[in-house]
Amino acid sequence: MMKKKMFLLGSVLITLALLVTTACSNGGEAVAPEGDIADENSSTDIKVALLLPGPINDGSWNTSAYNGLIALEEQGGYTIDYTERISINDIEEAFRNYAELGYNLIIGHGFEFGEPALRVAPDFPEVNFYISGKPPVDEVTLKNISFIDQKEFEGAFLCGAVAGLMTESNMIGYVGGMKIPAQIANMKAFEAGAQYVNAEAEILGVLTGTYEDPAKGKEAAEAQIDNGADIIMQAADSTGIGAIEAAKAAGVKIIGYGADQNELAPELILTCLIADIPAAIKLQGERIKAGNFESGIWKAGLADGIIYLAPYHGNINDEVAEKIDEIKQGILDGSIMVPEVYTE
Amino acid sequence: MIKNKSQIIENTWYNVKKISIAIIIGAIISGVFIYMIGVNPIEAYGFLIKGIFTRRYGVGEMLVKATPLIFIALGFSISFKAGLTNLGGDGQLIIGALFAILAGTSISGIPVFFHLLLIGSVAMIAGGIWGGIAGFFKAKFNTNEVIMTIMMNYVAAYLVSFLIERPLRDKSAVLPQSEMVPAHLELAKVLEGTRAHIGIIIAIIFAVLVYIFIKKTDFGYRIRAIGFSPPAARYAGINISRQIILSMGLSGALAGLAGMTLVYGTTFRVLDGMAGGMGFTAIVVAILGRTNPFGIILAALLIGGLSAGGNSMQVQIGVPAAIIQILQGLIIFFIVIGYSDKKSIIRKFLGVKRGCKYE
Repeated sequence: MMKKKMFLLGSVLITLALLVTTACSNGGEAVAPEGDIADENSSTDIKVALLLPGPINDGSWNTSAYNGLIALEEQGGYTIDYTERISINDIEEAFRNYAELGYNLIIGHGFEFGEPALRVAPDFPEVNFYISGKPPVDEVTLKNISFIDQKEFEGAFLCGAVAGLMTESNMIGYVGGMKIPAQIANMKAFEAGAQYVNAEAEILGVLTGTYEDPAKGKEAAEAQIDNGADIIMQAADSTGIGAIEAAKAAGVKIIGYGADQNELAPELILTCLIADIPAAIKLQGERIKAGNFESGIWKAGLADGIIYLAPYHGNINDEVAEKIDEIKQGILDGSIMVPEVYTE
Repeated sequence: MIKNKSQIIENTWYNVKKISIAIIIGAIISGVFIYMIGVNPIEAYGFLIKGIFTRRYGVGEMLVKATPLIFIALGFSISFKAGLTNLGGDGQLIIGALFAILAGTSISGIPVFFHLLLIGSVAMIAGGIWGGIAGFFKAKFNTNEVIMTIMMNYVAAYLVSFLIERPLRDKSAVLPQSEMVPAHLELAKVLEGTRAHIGIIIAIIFAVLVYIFIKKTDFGYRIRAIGFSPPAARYAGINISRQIILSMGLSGALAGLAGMTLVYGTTFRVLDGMAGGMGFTAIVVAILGRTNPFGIILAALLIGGLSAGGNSMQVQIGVPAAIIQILQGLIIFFIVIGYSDKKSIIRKFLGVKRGCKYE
């Protein structure tokens, strides 16, 4: 009885072992399955992997990064790969899995990827890491890791100039998001921009403390309109959608944020402040290929083409548009200094 | 209840056979899905196994992922022995994690070993109270502990989410997250160059303790007695209410300890969504391990290994790691079928059909 069972167990184990060995030897030789893109790429390709916190089809943060990766692939000479929905506990593992395969560039899409990347990077000096977010530490000394610190405030300065030139009541509303340094800098730069072109412009600014509360955004914008604001800038994602609604209801002009929001109010939206995440990812890939990857904190702004204003869609006259271009040139050549203020 | 040696071997063999068959059938069906993605399943499984065993880091990840699963599954098995189903592993884990970080950051100046001991105890008490609440309501008002524990998961998740968003937030961080674990309190690594930490050894020690507790102590005997037959247990003079609260409390305490090892060994902070459904994966582990502490260790290594190997497989060959979840689900499905009375299922199935005719 027992003998028979032991025999059965033994034979099952041996079969399994055989299966595993054949599987392994198969796997070693034929890395790429047929029909896969990997086939067509030569070994000289730059290998880029993208790690995403959410699904690629979320239509915003993750999709934009994926689009950047695709834009890179279309240039040719790149082999791309990505993993989506990486749970916060598995980030370090994902970095290491790609790093062990000798990827040239591994992109962690979000602030939360910073710390795990800093733990993995020292073990893989040949692999470059790029994090779409600010570093969790004050100083980055590793030679193979780069963080982005968007100079969004440069764009906010331009938006302020647009508002300052377009306002008739000299009262301008501003609805921001969380009270974090970057948001404070945006609001301060916006104010400076408006006053740079229009000394009499007054800013009614508020940081709502949230990106996800349209009702709060609407309330804030309504209060500003009641106080005479005839232009509202929003810089608060979903909260800002509420601000746009309030402005639309009152027929007040709007400056949007995050993407070209023109279709939300085609007649009223003057322009939008955009931070181009796909462009940043594409640019980092190109830098790897050209061999000029820069470690440390990449302060990307107007000059890099990462921060810019959305098309005006005819809501701004040529005179104002020219003036804005002038100011932009001024910022680029250093003749205009945009204040960088991170405290209230 | 006394079994002789051959009976135990017989029993183990029976379980191993059933579970292996379930795993093999599950793997074959998942293989069909892999094939449909356009990848050779054997090759994919090859990468999965290689991803674990041909590199030190893979082994490390297997241990990292197994550690919290062992704790939570051990907890689940204690409540299960008392006839209770604790689905609150996620909530108890995150509450344990929360109190662990508080105990670690707010107190200083104690020798590291005693400090860690204190942190572990605090996490266990916090998780235990969180689980015990559900036990208390079960015992006193006969509320359904399944619903109660699931709802407590949400309460815990949002509570911790609020706390790390506002009062406990690391001010320098862009995202809501707690302060970092002080560097000297991080759990030591067991495998150099990996994330595997001594949590796995603590987990194995606790498996032994739970085994002794359930099999050799009066407490364990009472808990098992309730599980077999509450009326009989009551007749024998066992305080059922107390045992229910105790078993749910112990169950939660182990999940709380899982949270502590997760924070001090792996994430080093309390983060939003760090429980990530581990409480439910641990139930898979407990069922796979037949709620036996040593079975649970093996099952956790299997599930942890699958998860680590799956991530590696995804990177190597592009098969989504989600396939591993399908595989896990199928394995449980076939285990449940394997242990059920198949004839009565078929009879019931036919009976229902016959019933339809009369309508």
